[in-house]
Amino acid sequence: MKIIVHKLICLILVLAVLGCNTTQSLQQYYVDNAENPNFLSVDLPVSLLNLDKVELSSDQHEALKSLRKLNILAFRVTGNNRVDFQKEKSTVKEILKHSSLTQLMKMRTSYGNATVNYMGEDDAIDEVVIYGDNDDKGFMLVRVLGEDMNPAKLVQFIQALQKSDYKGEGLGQLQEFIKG
Amino acid sequence: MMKKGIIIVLVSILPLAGFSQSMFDKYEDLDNVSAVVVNESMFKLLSKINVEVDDKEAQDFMDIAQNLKNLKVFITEDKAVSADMLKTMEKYLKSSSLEELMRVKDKDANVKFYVKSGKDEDHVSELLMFVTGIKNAEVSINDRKIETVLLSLTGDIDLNKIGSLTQKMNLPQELNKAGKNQR
Repeated sequence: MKIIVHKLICLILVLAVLGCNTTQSLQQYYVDNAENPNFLSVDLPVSLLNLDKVELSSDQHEALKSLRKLNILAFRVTGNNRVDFQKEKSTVKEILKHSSLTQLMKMRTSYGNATVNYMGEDDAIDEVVIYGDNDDKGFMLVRVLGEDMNPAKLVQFIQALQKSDYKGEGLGQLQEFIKG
Repeated sequence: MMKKGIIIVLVSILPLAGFSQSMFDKYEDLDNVSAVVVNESMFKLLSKINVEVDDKEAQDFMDIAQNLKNLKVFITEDKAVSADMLKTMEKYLKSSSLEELMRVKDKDANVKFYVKSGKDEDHVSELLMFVTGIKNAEVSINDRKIETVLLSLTGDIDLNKIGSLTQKMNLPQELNKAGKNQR
């Protein structure tokens, strides 16, 4: 009996470790490449959104509280890093494929490809991962991190954001990237 | 002996069970194919986002989105891929219990609908749309002419509410022809 319990605990531990591992690998990828010159990395905490002065309804406030930060990692294609681009692109795709994320949708167009994934319950999302690539520009990974984010309330929150005086602080580099 | 028989039956059934999903999957990552794949969780989310709405269109959309499982749209401008799509679809029609709902052939395009019957007359569990011979120049992508559009929708689909889906999700207008109102 004791042995069975012991084995069960071991199994649970292994599963727990495996469970963490899958999401950690994406986090690990972010950390590993934040300093890489081919990449542009932006970490945007919610506090930067200047929402303190805006009057929020209780639902909007709840949505704001559930949000933690926006995390962006972008690879920019230049004349001489095409080989790296293909390599990194396939690495990211592998990570996304083997992670515990639920895929919401996938698009493939002549302009580029995109996937939208999330983690958590459908009314309590913990993480949204958006991936997009374009052969001439590069690829971009956007992670919206939070805790128990409710999609309906998030929409209201975005409406609130439009009212705020947030003018894209911290995203300047990114705008250049998209235009570039 | 008995055991062996069961295994043989299982092995022969197994591919069929997974077949319906995987047959068109190869087009998801093919060059020359534009694809949109929307999964069940996305529909669940979409139906939750539109919570406070009064207009009928949005209400219809929520009703239909809640019960959808999967949407796949494949569009190609390539002749060879088009031919392959037609072949795959014909194979698929044979292997699954889809029946023809209607066929529309006019000067703009050749549209075919196939359905798998659902819980009652108005509901189907699968809807397949196949559009070929598109002549309308307005629907070209980057000046290349679209050859074939393949759309597959699974779930509990209310044919009366197809119209709201077409509008909200920006699907090909041809899909409306499967709606009950137009018939």
